[in-house]
Amino acid sequence: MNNKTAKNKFFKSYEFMLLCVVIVLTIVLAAATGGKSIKPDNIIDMLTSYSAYGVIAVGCLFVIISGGIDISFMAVAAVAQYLMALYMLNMGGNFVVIYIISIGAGAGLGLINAVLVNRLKVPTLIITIATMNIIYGLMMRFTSGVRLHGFPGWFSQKTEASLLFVSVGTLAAALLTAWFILKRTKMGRRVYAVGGNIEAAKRCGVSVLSVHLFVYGFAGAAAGTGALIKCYLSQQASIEALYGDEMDVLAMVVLGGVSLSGGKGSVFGTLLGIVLVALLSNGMILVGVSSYWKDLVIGAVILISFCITGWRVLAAKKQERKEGAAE
Amino acid sequence: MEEKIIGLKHVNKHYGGVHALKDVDFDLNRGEIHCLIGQNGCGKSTMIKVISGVIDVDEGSEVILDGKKCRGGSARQAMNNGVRVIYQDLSLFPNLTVAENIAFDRHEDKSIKGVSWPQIFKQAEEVLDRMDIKLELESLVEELSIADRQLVAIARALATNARILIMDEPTSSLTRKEVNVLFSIIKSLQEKGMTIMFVSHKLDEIIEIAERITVMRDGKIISTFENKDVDETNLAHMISGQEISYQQQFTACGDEVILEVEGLTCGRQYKDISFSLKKGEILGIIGLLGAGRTELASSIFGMNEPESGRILLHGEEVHFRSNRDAIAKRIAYVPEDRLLQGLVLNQSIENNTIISIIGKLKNRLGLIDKKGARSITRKWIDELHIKSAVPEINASAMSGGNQQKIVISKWLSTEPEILILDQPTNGIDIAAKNTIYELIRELAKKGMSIIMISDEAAEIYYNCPRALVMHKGKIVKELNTSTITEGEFGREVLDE
Ligand SMILES: Nc1ncnc2c1ncn2[C@@H]1O[C@H](COP(=O)(O)OP(=O)(O)OP(=O)(O)O)[C@@H](O)[C@H]1O
Ligand SMILES: [Mg+2]
Repeated sequence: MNNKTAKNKFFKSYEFMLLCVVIVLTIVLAAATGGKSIKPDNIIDMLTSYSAYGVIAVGCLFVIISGGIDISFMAVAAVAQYLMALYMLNMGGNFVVIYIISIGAGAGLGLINAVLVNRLKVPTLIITIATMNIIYGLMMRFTSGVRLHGFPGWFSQKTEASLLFVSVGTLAAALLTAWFILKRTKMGRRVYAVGGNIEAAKRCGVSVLSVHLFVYGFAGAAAGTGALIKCYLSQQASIEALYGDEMDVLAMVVLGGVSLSGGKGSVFGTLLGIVLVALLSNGMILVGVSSYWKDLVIGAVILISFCITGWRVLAAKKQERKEGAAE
Repeated sequence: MEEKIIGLKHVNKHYGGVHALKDVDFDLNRGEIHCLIGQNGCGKSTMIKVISGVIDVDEGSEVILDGKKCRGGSARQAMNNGVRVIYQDLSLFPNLTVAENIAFDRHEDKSIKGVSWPQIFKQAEEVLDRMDIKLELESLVEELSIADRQLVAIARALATNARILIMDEPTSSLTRKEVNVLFSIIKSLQEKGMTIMFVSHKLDEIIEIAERITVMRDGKIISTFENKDVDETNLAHMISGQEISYQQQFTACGDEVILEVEGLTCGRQYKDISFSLKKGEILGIIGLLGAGRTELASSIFGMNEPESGRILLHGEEVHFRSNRDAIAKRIAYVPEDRLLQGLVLNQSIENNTIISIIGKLKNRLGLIDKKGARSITRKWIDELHIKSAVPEINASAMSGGNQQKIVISKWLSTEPEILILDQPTNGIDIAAKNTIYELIRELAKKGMSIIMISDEAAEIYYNCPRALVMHKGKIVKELNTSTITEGEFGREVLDE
């Protein structure tokens, strides 16, 4: 019986609906582009170019589940990217080292966010807007907006395999790690607990500070990783590369079915959100629609999917009552 | 081994300017069942939070747990010492499943590594079996009724190997049946050596379960008694400082029928309900949990569309699409789940009180009439004895019972034609209870028609001349309370 209810739940869930949307959209796009959109080349291309934001979205997911919101991730990513690039230009290094640097730099800045969020009783949106501006300001001051490029050979000579590994491979690793943490570790469950009822979590002896440190640290690390992917794809480090795309990332997470008041959201949903945004953007380029329409379409999709979910929940409740009557 | 398991010495607690605990000395003995009683806002919950370490105490206070002095404000330390608390607000995680909520504390234990879902479900199932209740383990807590949520909170506390179990009004939304089960569990836990502290406003429950009883008033401990030395009457007197006795005081209602319900049916919630309500009548509806009382009430209030049957107001059939339609027809509903459905916690008492009449409070410029709002709020604060309250204080700073009173005042100020009260005195102390009854009678005299839903036989018996008994979604009988004794009424209700 448990299994059956679990299955029923899945069919009624937002994730299931999203999955349907993704499938339908894939079919529609394939038809509209005469099959171009489902050619392996295009799929790989699409996944590669969206994996950077995908990784960052996974980090955001954690913050949102914990009941906060982080706007500073792109600024954090920019710092990580710069540090990593500077290291490569001056010291050479290898992949292991630059992963460590970008993850470490991102996590470090995330921890600062965490401490501020925990100590100041100010909405996290305001805190992270502040840290975002401070970081961008300092970056402009110290880098004067100079782009870094001309990286060592091991970084600049991309092969098909290395490209896939760094982008899609990293995204897959991030998704798996996130899934494992959220589902299988106590810290993961604490993140949900804090997002659901922070006062109750405290009363159960959960250290909210440790949850905040973990969540914002993780988000920072994810931002740093995303920055590395982006740098590998574009072969340059710059502030503008990431600036202004905050909403794309948030759209992925929101489409993935989180609740902005915290406590809800899943890795699977976020994965679908990432795929959906990637599909929409890529599809519109293929169809030849101006990219200005992209934001509008994403907004519309967000609205429609939430309406459908709400409507389905209501319908399910009515159905339940009717079934009860037959008993 | 020392007899005392918890000791408070000279404990003081200030919330800003409010002196919530005044030099409290309190002992909890190993293995006893100890009840704490007192008026709303006298500091019971505060004292519990001091013991469980979730709030700080003032300088100079001493909290001794098992002979060791405790640092104030460390929930972890208290938990590691086996203190488990069911808080008045339940402190559940609405976004998590029943199973996970129940197993949460247990999983916080250091000895358990990682998260094992089969374990979580097994533990939850075990506890629910022990309590002899059925709940869907996969449901989210936010989907549950307030009574079910209370059961989940109890289950969570029982799931761990607690040594000291503290319950802050665990029974306020439960009916006698669940309370009986809870009490038998409490007794068996006591036999296994657990120490239990219990807060309730229901004196019959207290007398039944307590070995020792501590009475608080205004942040001070009045005294501690052995169960055999007290009875309900003198406890009531000590709590409120006044004599409280109930009498049936019925005034004849008019003949004009205001509301008629005909063959109302809604799935498995309730079936074929018919009754009528006259002008100025107080009609009682009594029944156990799951009898469909609340669902019926929310249908009349437009929040739960019935499947078939008719609702007639002044002889005309009405179809409410939402509660806004019902409010427009001057129906008011004080929900059972008041804290969730009825209160905006981070808003002031004043804003909470006037929110339902904001349209009427306009001054000549169309802005809110501040003075009017203030005076209405003041009036309710006085009438309902909402303790240490000024209109501008946040509702979240009020004690549980006083929050309930704010919700009631919010609906009373709409001056409706039909008032539906769902468990109006849950969590409300006996003195304030009496005030609320008087107020209800007063309103009925002025011509308001009232439906009072409750599972407390006495409450219905003394206030409603006519009572409908609901069982499993049906009205099984109608009783005329003035022709029978309270004892007879109780028996009639119980044997459906
Ligand atoms: N967070 C808070 N901020 C300010 N004052 C508070 C806060 N919590 C409680 N108080 C005040 O402390 C006093 C004691 O409250 P407490 O919750 O202990 O009462 P109680 O005895 O549990 O009452 P009830 O029977 O209504 O639950 C009340 O006057 C209340 O207004
Ligand atoms: Mg209380």
